[in-house]
Amino acid sequence: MPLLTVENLRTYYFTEKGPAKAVDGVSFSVDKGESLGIAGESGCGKSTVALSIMRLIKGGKVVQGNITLDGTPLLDMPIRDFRRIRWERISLVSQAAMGGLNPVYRIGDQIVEAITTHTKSKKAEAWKRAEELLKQVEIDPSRASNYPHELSGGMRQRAMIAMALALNPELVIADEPTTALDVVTQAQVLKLMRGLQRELNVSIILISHDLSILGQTCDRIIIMYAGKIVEMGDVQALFREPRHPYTKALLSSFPDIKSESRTLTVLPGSPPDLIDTPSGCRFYPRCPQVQDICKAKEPTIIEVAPKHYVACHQVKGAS
Amino acid sequence: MPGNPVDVFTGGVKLTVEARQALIERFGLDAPLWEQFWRYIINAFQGDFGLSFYYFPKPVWDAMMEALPWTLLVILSSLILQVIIGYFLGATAAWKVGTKTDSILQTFSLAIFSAPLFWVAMILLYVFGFQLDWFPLSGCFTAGATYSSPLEYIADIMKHAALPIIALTIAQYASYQLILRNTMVGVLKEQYILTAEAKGLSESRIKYRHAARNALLPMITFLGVSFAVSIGGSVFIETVFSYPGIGKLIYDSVLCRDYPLLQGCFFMFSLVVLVVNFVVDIAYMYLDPRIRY
Amino acid sequence: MLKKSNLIEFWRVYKQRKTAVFGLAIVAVFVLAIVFAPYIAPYDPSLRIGAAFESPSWQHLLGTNDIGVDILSELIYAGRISLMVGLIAASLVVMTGSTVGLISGYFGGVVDEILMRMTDIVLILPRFPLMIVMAAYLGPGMWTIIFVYSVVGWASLARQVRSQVLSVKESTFVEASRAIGAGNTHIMTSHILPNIGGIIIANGVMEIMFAILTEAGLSFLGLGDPTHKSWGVMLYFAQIRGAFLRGAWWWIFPPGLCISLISCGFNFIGTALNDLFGLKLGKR
Repeated sequence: MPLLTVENLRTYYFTEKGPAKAVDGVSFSVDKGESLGIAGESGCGKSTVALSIMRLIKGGKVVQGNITLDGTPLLDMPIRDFRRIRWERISLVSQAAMGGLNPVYRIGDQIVEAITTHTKSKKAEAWKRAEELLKQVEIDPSRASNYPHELSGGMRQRAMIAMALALNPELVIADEPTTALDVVTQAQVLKLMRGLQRELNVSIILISHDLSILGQTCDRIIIMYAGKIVEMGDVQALFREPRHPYTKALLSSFPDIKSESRTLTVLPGSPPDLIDTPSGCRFYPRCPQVQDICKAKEPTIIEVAPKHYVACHQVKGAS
Repeated sequence: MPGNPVDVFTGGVKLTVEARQALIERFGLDAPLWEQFWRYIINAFQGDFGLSFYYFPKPVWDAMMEALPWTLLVILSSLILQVIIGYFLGATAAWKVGTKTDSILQTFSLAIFSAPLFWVAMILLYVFGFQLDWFPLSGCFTAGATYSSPLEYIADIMKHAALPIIALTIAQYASYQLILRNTMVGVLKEQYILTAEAKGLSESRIKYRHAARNALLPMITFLGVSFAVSIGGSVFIETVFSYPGIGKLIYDSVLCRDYPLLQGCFFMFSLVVLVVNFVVDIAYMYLDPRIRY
Repeated sequence: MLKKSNLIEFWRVYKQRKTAVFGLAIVAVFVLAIVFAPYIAPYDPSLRIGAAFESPSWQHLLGTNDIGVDILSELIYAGRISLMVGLIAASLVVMTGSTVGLISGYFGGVVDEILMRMTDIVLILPRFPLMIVMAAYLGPGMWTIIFVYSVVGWASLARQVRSQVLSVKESTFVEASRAIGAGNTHIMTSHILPNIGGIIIANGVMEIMFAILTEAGLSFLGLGDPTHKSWGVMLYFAQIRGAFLRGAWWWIFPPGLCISLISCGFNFIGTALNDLFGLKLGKR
């Protein structure tokens, strides 16, 4: 049985002009110990998926859907009980470099807070554990007495990871964890994450707009566009044989040092209005392979190869 | 300055020429003006502000030193209360920003802030002093009383200081509430608040220990300004409650045209404000780990 | 900027805030009452109509004071003084402060340095004690109060106007204007002024509130004009003529209540204007 299942999730934000359908019918699952990546451009809804799982949506709500953790439904749970799930079973790593850590408390204190809130540990024990965790993410444990601004961007991010692992959660959601870091630091952090994930057998949902990161770190990838899933599959399959036009465009927009062309393929247009969603396939205004049917009917997700799913009228089914 | 100081001092009583000359020399009024000013500054730094006209021959310094502690008691106690009340109300308003609670808190506090301080004091005195008899009507302690223990003394002092402190607090807490609320609304949008919530922390913990704590700094900076304003306010409070602090001293010296006393008090006020601002800067450094000199 | 369509739009947004409308209403009521004082006040406040310290009755809705003057009448006429002093003092402050801020911010350099030093000095001194000291030297009276308030009060507005001018000055459309060869006056009037107009008006309204409160305070301390009674002066007399001892609540409450209400009114208006102009400029 998968660790986490998300069924038909719809999360809308309230705006003056009507609800913005940030996530509009998303279903997927995550297995134990699996690393799942969610990719897509800004505003496609990937962060909203993460926030919906953690029930941290502000200015909007989950209007429909079922999310279960190990069989237990999460969305209807009373918030007091759900607080026990938070961090103990699912934790969140956000962009530390951009203020994910509270600037007025020491790193150690913030990790200790997570521990003492959920367990009966005393402060001293918790502090020791915090130091061990920092060691695990390759930070000198004496830095626990430092404030966030005294650490480099990469160290801060690793400290956040350490904090996320404090209670041995089953699932860690990492939302753009390396976006603000330079490439070298990025690689370090990703390698660390991959290593920890394997060692501790933790499931990860890694969210990024950067497909190359996901390619290195994940087992499976979901591509989202305008609140819907357009393609989902094993990382190898997806990279070698992308089926959805959007995925193809994403992959080809990376400058390849070995390729012969000198220009970047750019995807024309911009993402659709989430309030006034177009009929039919959400991608049709920008799709190079658009047909009449695309404008009229929304494509459903079909399995085109084992464990490889696509939502596009142009792609034929597996059988 | 209207009128020759000597005439003011003597209250217009006619003096003989010699007596007048003696007084002029005594007060150094025969020296050129700039020299008088210079001597005043030098003396001031040595604590000599001259002699009070009204309380003659009591030195101005003594009169001020007797009054200062009482004023400080009221102002400092009130500031602490203002910060505490402003902190909790402001945090609640920010947490519920945009809702009715927020609007009601804002409006209510703004309305109270519009009422003149001395009038609030008058009402408190009238209702709780005269009508209900819960608090004494004047002074900083009961005159001529003997106390069986220091605790009784403190209790008496607090009973006399209570209304002034309450009046000052009511009139001025609103700024703190407003400042905290406005800063905190910005803080609540920060990522670390999301992290705190994701950590499963309780609402009050996030509200006070994460959000409000980060919004604290402008409030602390405001303490300096607030202190200066409170000092101005103390003139009214002490007048209404007949409380013998520096404010009342200023008021009396205005009534009696006691210029040395007035100048001395003014000098003292400015000095105290500077000191408090300095202390506030130090406190700021302590509270924000990002600023360490 | 003062086009009719702008004003209509402005009113539409303004109307949405209940406090702002309430504030406007209160101020309007007071202004009307004050202007039509001779028709509204039941008696002539300079005449001793009744017995001393009479409590409220149908004849004297707010009772009488220590010399038998009808308090309600006194109250209405006192509003004229309170409001007038407030408006004049506030206008002076706004004019001085904005001019200093505008010149300082626009011309910069030595002029800026000098003006800012002066501003700093004024800002650092405790306002009320300074006003009290100055008023003591100058002798009590309405114009003394207006004067001391202006001397002490212009600095804060100058600061704010200056920083706004600076930010507009650096903006690209001013650069563009200059590139076309526009002169200083033109830039000042057509670019800078419209953009600082908002802060000036919003702060101006708040200044009226502070001026009224300050006048009340200074008058209460005896620095006002006993022959031109404002609400503050009424309270001064209440205090020294023994209203407390006589339990004359009808003398103590109403003047203070009037001051509070009108201040509250200006406060609400000013706060709303502040928010609205801040939003329009995209700042905050």
